[in-house]
Amino acid sequence: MKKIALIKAITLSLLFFFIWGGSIASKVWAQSKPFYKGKTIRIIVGFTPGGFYDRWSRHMARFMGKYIPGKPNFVVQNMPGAGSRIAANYLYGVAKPDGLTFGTINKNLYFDQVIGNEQVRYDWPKYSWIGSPERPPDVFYMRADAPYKNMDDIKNAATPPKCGSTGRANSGYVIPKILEKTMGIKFKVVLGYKGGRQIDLAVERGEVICRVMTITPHLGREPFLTWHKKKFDRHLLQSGRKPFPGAPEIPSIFDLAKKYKVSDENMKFISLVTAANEFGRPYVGPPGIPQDRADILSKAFMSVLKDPKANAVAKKLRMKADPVGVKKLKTMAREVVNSPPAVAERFKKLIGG
Amino acid sequence: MIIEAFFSGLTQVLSWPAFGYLLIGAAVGFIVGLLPGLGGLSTLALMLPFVYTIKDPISAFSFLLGMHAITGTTGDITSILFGIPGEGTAAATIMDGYPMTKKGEAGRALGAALMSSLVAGIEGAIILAISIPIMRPLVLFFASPELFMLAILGITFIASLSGENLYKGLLAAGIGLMLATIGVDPQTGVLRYTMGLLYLWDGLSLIPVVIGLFAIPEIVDLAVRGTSIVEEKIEKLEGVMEGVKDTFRHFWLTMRCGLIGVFIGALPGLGGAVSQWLAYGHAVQSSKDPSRFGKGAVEGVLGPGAANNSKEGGNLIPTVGFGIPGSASMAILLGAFLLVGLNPGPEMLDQHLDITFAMVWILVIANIITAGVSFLFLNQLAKITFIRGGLLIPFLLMFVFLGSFTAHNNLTDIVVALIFGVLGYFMVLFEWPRPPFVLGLVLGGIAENNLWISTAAYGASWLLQPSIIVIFLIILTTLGYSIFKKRRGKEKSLGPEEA
Repeated sequence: MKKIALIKAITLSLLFFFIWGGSIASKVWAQSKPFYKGKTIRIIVGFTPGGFYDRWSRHMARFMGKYIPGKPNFVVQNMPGAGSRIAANYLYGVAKPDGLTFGTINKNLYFDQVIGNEQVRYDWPKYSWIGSPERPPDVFYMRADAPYKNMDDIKNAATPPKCGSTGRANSGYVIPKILEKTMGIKFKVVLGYKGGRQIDLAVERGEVICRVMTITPHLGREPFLTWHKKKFDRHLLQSGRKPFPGAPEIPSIFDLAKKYKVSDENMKFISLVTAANEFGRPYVGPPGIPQDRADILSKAFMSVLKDPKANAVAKKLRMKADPVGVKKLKTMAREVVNSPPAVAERFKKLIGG
Repeated sequence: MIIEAFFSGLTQVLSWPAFGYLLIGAAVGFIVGLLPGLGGLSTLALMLPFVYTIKDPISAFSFLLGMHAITGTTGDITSILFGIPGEGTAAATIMDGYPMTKKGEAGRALGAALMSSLVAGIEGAIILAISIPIMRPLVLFFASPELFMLAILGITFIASLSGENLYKGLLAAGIGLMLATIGVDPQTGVLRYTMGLLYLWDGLSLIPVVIGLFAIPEIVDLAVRGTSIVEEKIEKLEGVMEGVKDTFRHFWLTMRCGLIGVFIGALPGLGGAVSQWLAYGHAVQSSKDPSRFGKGAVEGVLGPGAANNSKEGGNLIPTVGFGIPGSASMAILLGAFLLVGLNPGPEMLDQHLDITFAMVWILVIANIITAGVSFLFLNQLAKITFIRGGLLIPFLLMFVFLGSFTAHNNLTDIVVALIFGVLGYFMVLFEWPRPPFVLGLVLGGIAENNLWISTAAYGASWLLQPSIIVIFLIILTTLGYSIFKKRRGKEKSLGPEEA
């Protein structure tokens, strides 16, 4: 009997040892196995394929994996609609904050929050910020055969020049309008073009003569390369605070504001609008991603932008890394949504929201 | 120099490995076009990374352009066999293609769609080649006032697309025009009829609307009938060759509709769906007996089939000549240009003219290969339509849902398809024509936007521009002709009764 009891005791203790030991081992194993191993990360793009938001995302999907422990797979999912607001709402409220989903949305979506658009369900600063690959300012271009050589000419002109834009919540409309409201430089903005390329064609036809657009494509692709060779257009203004490295001769909107001695409140107004450029092409995740995973993602994001091989591919696609880090993005995000009510009210009137 | 570049383009496409890539591209395009739910656009974006490893531009374009040229062609196949558009731009083929299938003429319809695609695809490529020297003035000629007038010209097709009851047609078109106003108004920023949904900010997307409107009523009908898609029992399937012959019987119609495709394709911002519906409208309008349309007239397949493919040649005109993409797919193709070290724009018409011609050849050869391969098994494919409806319906529903979902990758797309499915069902039940509705929806936004732009940019002076007056006269003639034809048709039909 004693023998049987002994065997029973040994068997039980062995069983207990294996179960207990096994669970400890699996925990240790799980801790040593990186979270992202065998996982797939989704990059949501708030636009259709073809543009720079999509191009950067596919670039990131290609190179980010090797900088993340566990080398996860990446998929890019386009979720276009309402100027990427559908993707913004999805990323904020629907996607799980598990570090397996992040995405890119329009740089100026904070406008909605400033003017109190009820259909947005996000709080701009609360996103888990991942980074931004570039921050090109906007350029204001005009046909060279137009009678306006600079902004002074436009200010003094009897008839304002006609510029093209797709809609109101777009820098093509907003920038001319803040020039008008803060410095008295008047424009007639023709709205309703289906896309930027249609406006460029309209400029070639002479239907409109000016447009505001992101500076990098303007300096880097057709039809502009031919335009510049033929001196078809002039660059009257850029929206960055500093001279743009590729074209330092273009005057900044802030220098112009100083020249016209605009008031402090007007200066805040200009800053609020042009801050969109500083956000560049923002990548955000749902609020509440565990800090360690958010850090892994943003670190990998920045590493791709420093990777010589990735940068060589980016260069081919006319993309140039000029990264904005998480810290700066978070600070700016807080600043823009805390604009003084008077500035916000003026902004609301401007874009008719 | 042009002749030299023309033939150099051909030899480069036929040389190895470019030709191999063309075959792979065509195979992928074939499957993507066939399956609703896999859009040509997203597939191009997915395949773009492969170009990273292809250094030679001709091989890269053989792969991408070969694939893209085919998706439109094979997209027609599902439209004809099941009444479900394989691609958003292949919806007009349903109008007569599916009724032909129901009559047991699936093979003939498929033959007609593929052959007209081939003929018009080659036509588009040739026009692209010829128009190289005049590309710029051609594209620049059409400013916003001209685009507005073209949209109005398109809207006048409603009269012929309305079938027997003009009033129902006009009302359907009116509803289409009204639904085209949904979304953010670009002029004032006001949200129109968006009902608090972000989804509706960009307006209704054509893909789920068309799938709902056309495919769902047919599936319901199939379920109710409880038979196979082919309604009547027939001895033998009408062959594919018959459809091929039809293309040549109506050769000039095919060519004219091909021309519409090239023309609309060359104007950025109008979209592929416009060209197909306008071609369909033209086929109906130019027919001696418009009453046959919608019931399985082969011309109703030839027209859209032709326009669907020739528009690719048209799309390439602004893409290559200006670096301004003629469509969303061309925007992705621009990325490929950059990856292989090319700069789309004037240098494509000068130092890289051979590559531009190679692109023309890729369009031609890819179309010939697809048509050849398709003819081998089209008759077999057509036999699917003999399968009992009960077995097919689950697959068809899956196609409907997947196909709708591609619009925005959003579940609301499926809801939209279902809503328009109900609408479509009642339209069929009460004999309301659906094409005018779609035409209103497609052209409404274009007309409205370009009217605003024209007025803002030119004041009222655009109304007196010579080009506008010419298009206006064309509109009057078209309207007058269709009214005259209708009256004469009525007199004829009254004739025997009176006698």
